[in-house]
Amino acid sequence: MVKLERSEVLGRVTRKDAVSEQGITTWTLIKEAIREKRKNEAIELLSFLRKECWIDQVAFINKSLAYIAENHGEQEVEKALRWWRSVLQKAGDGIYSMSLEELIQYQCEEIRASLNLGGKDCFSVSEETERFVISVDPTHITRLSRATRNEPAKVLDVTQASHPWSWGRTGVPYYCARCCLWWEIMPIEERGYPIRVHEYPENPDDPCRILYYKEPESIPREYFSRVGKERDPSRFKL
Amino acid sequence: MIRLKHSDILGRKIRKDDWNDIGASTWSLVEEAILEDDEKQALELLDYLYEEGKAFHDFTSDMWAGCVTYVGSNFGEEEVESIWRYIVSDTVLGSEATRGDTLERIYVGAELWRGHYMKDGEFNLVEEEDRYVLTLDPCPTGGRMLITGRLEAPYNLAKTSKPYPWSWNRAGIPWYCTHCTICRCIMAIESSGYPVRVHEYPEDLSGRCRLIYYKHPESIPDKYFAEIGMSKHTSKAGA
Repeated sequence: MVKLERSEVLGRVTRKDAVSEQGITTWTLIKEAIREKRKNEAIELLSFLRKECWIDQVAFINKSLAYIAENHGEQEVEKALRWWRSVLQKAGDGIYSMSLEELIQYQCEEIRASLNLGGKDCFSVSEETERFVISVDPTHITRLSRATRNEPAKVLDVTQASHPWSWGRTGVPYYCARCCLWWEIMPIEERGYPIRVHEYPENPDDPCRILYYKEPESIPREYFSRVGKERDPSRFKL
Repeated sequence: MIRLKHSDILGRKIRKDDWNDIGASTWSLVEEAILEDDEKQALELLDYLYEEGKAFHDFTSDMWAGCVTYVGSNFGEEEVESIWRYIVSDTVLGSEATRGDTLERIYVGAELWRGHYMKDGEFNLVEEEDRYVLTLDPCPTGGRMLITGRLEAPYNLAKTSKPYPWSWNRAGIPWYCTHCTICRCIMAIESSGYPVRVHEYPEDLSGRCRLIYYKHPESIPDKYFAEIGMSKHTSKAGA
């Protein structure tokens, strides 16, 4: 029998079922409650499941990259991120063969999963003439750094120097820099243009905007130059 | 409009909603379907919610292991211990996993493992006279990496080339898995005199792992200290 009870250690409810039942997944318990029309229980378990599934591996990745930066120099962060993307490519990561729409749908999935939030407007997607714009509410995208202002131990480590792979800026969390490298710089090197570009906010109160241009020819020159690249349409591999 | 459709590239369903709807949390969509008594939609979205979360979980888990492999491969295997200590020092010691009585730690530990997107039958917890034994088959992190080929090309996530105290004095242990002994055993002993839990890491690298939580530190056999190059001094226990 499922028992959601307050844990003083966690400061919230957790499952205090019998030891022998701890291995039953919360997913299964919710399904049973749905099928048996125990609506309130299903909702309560769903709310708990969202907390149960929140394991902040992004912070651990950022910390790992911070270790590399602190002990071996920030230039090694670039090398590490480049290496891991090449591994994913060799592993046949399907995202490199997705259409523009599929890429956006896939990134939306990633954003939803990474935010782990409820609500109907975690972020927005709008279609403009030349491009699609994803705009992630600043209270969400910078949630880690905002939420940790009062918890210094959890503040994300950021770039200390400006690099092309941090959009020429300091103060960019190492994890966020992968967006610059993986989706802007490396695609420019491979196909001549970025797959998507990012308007990473200067001010944490501004949204992070991600732009997918429908045609590479429409991508403004500034999105190449800020990452140390040249816009050369003759090199575009369409 | 919400559209849960199969993606040939991903080999599973993904939300291909109208752009106006795609920013809505899947958690909220499941809740809405439950409240509207739409059982079919609720169950379908719940299954998708699992896939949505697990895809991101596995991506970040692999990338994290990749960072550790990058460090060990480029700067020496000895640095694997250093990076784990650096990563976990702020976040794990003093965390929920180390506080409370044993049963509270079991609840926290069980929640943590379920949160790694385990499926029914992969997690078994048994109470014995002096301990709780948690069997992960497979472990949803390091074990998953093992059985899904992450230690082979092109990933090549690395394993210890020789025995270290932080690899249970064994060669061939995935560097990722060593964080369990470094932070749950070695650092815990340094801090409080005894491990939060001990591990029976499989010889066959099958992905199956046994985690043992002793009810009283005094009951933890000496061998679990010796295998990581430490000795048993329970004087700090409970401090």
